[in-house]
Amino acid sequence: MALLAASVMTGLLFLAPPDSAATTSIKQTLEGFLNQPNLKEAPATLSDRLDPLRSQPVAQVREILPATLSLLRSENPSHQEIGSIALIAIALRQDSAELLGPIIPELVTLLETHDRTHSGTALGLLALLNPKPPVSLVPYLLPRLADSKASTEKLSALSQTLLRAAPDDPAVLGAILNLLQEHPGMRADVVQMMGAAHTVNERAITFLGASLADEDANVRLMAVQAVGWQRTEVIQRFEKQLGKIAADSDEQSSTRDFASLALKQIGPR
Amino acid sequence: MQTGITENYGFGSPVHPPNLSSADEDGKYNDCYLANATGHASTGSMSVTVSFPGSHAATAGLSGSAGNPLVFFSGYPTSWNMAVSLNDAAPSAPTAQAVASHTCYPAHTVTVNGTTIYNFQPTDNSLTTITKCLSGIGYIGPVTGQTYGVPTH
Repeated sequence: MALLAASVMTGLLFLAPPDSAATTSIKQTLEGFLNQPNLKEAPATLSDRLDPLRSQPVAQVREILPATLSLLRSENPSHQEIGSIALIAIALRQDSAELLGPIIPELVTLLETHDRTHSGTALGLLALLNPKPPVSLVPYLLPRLADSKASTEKLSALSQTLLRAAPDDPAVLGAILNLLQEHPGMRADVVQMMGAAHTVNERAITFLGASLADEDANVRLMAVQAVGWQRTEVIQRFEKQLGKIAADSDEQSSTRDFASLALKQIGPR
Repeated sequence: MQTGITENYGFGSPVHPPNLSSADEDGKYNDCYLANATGHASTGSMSVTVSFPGSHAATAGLSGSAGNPLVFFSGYPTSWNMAVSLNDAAPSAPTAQAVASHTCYPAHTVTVNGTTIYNFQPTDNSLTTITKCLSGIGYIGPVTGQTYGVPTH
C-alpha cells in the first residue's frame, strides 16, 4: 500500500506545471524515488519533467543536488539512471561548471562506477558543463585515456571532455594523438574534435595538415571542414593544400566544396 | 556512404522570419552572423553488410553512429544497429523483419521497398531527453519487429 501511495504521489507530482515552483516538486519527486528501493525503471517522461532545471534559480537547483547525488550513489540501477538524468538536466545549465565544480571528484567516481550508458561513456557527461568543464578535470580523466581496455566510444567521450576543458594543454593533445596509434579508426573523430576545439597547438596543426592528405576520403572531408572552422591565420597555413584539394577532380565533390569554402574565408571579401 | 549537409546560422537569422531564405546566405562563415557554418557528419563508423543465410533469405546489417559536427562538444552521437532479414521463399510475396537497437533519440525508421517495417518515435524533444538518449542512457533494444509483407520492388 505504501508503495502504491508513493507511486500515486510521484504521478501527481509529474502533473505539476513546469513553472518556478517546479523545483520543489522536482526535489520531492527525486526524494520519492529514493524511497522506492524496488524501482524497476526510470519513468519515460522524467527527462522532459526535469528540463526546467536549466532555467530555475541557482539556489533552488542547489537544493536538488543532495537528492541527485543520493540517487547516483544508490546501488539500485534505476536510481543511478534517474540520478544521471537529473545530473544531465543540471549540467545543461549555463552555470553548471561552478555549480558542480566542488563535487567533480565524486562525480568522476560515481559516473564511472555507476555508468548507466550503453557504451560506458558516462564520463562524457562532464563535457556538458558550462561555460566549459573545469581544468581540474584533467588529472582525473587524462590517465583514463591510457586504459587499453576502454572502448573507442569511451575514449572518444573522454577526449571530447578533455579538449573542451583544456584545448591547448600539450599533455591532453599529446595523449589524444597518441591514441591514434592503437585506434587508427578514430582519426576522423579526432580531427573533427580538434577542429572544434580551435586548438593552436603545433602538434594539432600538424595533425590537421596530415589529415588533409589522409588515405581515407572521410578523414579528408573531416579535415577540410575542421580547417575551415579555424581562424584565418590558421587557414592560411593550409592554403596550398586546400587549393590542391579544391582542384583535384579525383576528390569527392563535398571535400572539394569545403576546401573552396575554407579558401573563401581567407580570400578577399 | 554519404551524409547530408548540416548548417548553422547566427545573429540576424532568419532575415525573413519564420523561415530561412536566400537572404540568410551571406557567404561569410565563422562570424556568428547569418550563415555561420556548414558541415557533414563523419561516416567513419557507419557500415552496411549483406549476407545470404539461405537460398531465399538475405540479411542486411546496418550499423553506425553520427554526431552533428556543428554541435561542438555535444559529446555523443546518434547510434544504431539494425539487422533486416528478407525472405522471398514466396517470390510474389516477400517478407521483411527488423531487429533493432539504437539510441532513444531521434526517431528511427526502417523501410523496405517503401513499406515501414520498424518505426520508433522518441518520447519528446526536450534538451534533457535528447542529451540523455544520445549519451546512451535508455538505449533501445534489441527489439524484434513484426514480419511484414513487402513489395517486390
